[in-house]
Amino acid sequence: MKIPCAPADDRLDATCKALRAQVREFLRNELSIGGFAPQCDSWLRGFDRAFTRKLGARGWLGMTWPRRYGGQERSQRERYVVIEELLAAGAPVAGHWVAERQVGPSILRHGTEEQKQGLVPPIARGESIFGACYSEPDVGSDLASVKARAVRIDGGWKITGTKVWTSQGHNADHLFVLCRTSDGAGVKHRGLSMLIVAMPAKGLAVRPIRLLTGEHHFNEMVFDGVEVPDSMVLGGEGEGWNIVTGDLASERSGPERFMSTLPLLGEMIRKARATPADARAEIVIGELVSRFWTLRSMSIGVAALMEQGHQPGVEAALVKDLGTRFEGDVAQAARLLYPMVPSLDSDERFENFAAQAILHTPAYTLRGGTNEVLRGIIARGLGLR
Amino acid sequence: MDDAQTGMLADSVARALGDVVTARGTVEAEAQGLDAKAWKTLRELGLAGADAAAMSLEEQAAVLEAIGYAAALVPYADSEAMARWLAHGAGLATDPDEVLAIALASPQALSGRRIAWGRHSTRTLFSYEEGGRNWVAVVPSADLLLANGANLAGEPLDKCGGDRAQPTEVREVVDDFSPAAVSQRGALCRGAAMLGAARKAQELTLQYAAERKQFGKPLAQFQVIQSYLAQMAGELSAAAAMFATALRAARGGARASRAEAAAAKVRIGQAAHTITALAHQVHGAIGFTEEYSLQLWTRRLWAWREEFGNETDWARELGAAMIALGPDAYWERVTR
Ligand SMILES: Cc1cc2nc3c(=O)[nH]c(=O)nc-3n(C[C@H](O)[C@H](O)[C@H](O)COP(=O)(O)OP(=O)(O)OC[C@H]3O[C@@H](n4cnc5c(N)ncnc54)[C@H](O)[C@@H]3O)c2cc1C
Repeated sequence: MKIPCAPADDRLDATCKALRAQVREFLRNELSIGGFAPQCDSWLRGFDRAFTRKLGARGWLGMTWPRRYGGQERSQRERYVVIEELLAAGAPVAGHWVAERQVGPSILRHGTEEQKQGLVPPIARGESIFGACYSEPDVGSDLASVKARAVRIDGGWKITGTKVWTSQGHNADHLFVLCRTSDGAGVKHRGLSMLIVAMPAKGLAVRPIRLLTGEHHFNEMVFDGVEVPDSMVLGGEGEGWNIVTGDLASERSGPERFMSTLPLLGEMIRKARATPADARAEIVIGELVSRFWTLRSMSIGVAALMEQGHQPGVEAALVKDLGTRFEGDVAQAARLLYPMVPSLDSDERFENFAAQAILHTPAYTLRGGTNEVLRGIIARGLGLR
Repeated sequence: MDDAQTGMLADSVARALGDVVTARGTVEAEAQGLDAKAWKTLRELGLAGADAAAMSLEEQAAVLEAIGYAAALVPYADSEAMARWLAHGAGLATDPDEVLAIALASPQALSGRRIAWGRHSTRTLFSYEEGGRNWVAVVPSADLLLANGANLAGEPLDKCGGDRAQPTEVREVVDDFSPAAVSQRGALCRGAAMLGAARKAQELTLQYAAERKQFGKPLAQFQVIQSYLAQMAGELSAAAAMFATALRAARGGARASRAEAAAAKVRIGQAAHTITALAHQVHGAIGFTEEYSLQLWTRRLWAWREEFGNETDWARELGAAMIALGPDAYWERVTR
């Protein structure tokens, strides 16, 4: 296990600084024209097609991808600058998050030339939204037990089964569907394939599953004989597990794993600044900033390890375990620091953000692999399993 | 020195200490408050005296991590990485063979003060501010009328006898050697040693969990124990990452890197709390004994987290600085 820590690179720092200034300027401008309302957990709840397109137009989606597939061939570090600025501002990035973070890279790595040319550039333009259909009613942490089946038909596959918790499934232009295509000769994760479904699809019913807030973000997706041509199988038959696990390090170590409630920390600081000096507020905020700073350093460190060709899956699990607990702790610290009535309809931004942060707490330590499962991965990295 | 060379230095110090420091030896040395053999080894490696003043903070941190890992009872941090560095900055001559002590106080305010490693030092350097200026005063340690005392790790923390002492020399120093800069350096020195001690506590715990069997299997096979061990690894990584960030920032000068240093001492202190608790929990009663060695490292973590500012001190300073910056500028500072 390596210690992931942000490496210093003065040359890159200059490029990143200029880029950061551009993003900040863009966000300031958007805010001044009422382009978006800042919020906590904006990468889950902030769906805004127009905003996503604006990012695409600026070249801030798929920044690291090859130019011929719509990317900018910029570094991971530069992409990091952009996404952390967007998250800190609470900007509505939910529309493209899954597509930009994992679908694009997966297609670039495993796809055919036709798939790359057809599917990747629209993601970079902010015009293609993806839903990830992995989880099922009976299949959560033990993802290799996926039951949805795809059977061979002439020139393609036919999917039958039910997926749940599909974020943005109701807005998606395409779906990434993990299906069982064979019994894998008894090894369950060998019989899985990744099928790409174009929306709208015949035989697919999309039903909202409302969050405890009543918000509509994720969905139940019932596949009843949905047909997929061979050209939309990613990486070939039986490659599903490799594809799902291939990008886990980047999915688990990114800044969204510890910044979901960062807008609330900003509000705490605003509030503390407007009140007379108070030792308790200073200590609480100092502790949170220290933890945030640490996580940021670790997260950038994991990205650097990936760029050097390592596979820091264990290190990424460390970041996510620590980071998602931090997200919940920010909400807890905020409510204990200042008397307030957290409410989604409060006119006070502090109370508003606190309400968002508290109501979304369950998500932080569940989505993308629960913390218990992550601990298991770390334990394996320590040689205990 | 680049990172690789610093790593080699750390390895050679670790090897040298590994040859002379034992858990039993450290426990026995606590009566004197010094492991004379270990100290001699470090001096023979050229880590004390004039050479020490020429070393970078990064190199000194590497040495300190090795000292923490070995649980060597030596005054390297206070005498060499701090007092010698301060003397150098103040233009004061030192004898390469003398041990120096350091105090963040005025020699006119000694009542209730304790001086780390005082009894082994010839002279104590006092770092303080007066009239808006920064001073270093030198006092022969014998004049402090010290009575023996110890921190939780059994390191000398001797009690001053009088109220004031007469300095033999007083120098004004620039901002880089102000009391604030001294305490910041102290926080990083303790942080480095804590990382070494935390790493050792984790290794012992992993090893113990693999060997000790209950209910017919090694502890390491119980999921809850695996979860504890994973949590320890996370805390250790977090502490190390923030420390490395602070050390790198320190290249830009003390004042410009104060927030990073503060964040590091806070985060390492938090990690020390979790790591010591879980290390002992996994060890059961054996870890609570004098005979078993885990206590050498957990006591060090408990002692060092308090010295040169604990989590509360540094969190408060960091928090106040961030609040003063406000919601936009704090973010710019952290992402600088
Ligand atoms: C906000 C949100 C968005 C999501 N978006 C998507 C999406 O877009 N697409 C998608 O496919 N899925 C999505 N998910 C689903 C997510 O991936 C699952 O919730 C997650 O994998 C856990 O599965 P589960 O909810 O079935 O819980 P379970 O796996 O049933 O786990 C329940 C509890 O048991 C624990 N547990 C399970 N196995 C073990 C074990 N071996 N050892 C110890 N403890 C264990 C878990 O840690 C958890 O605490 C989303 C979830 C959330 C909350």
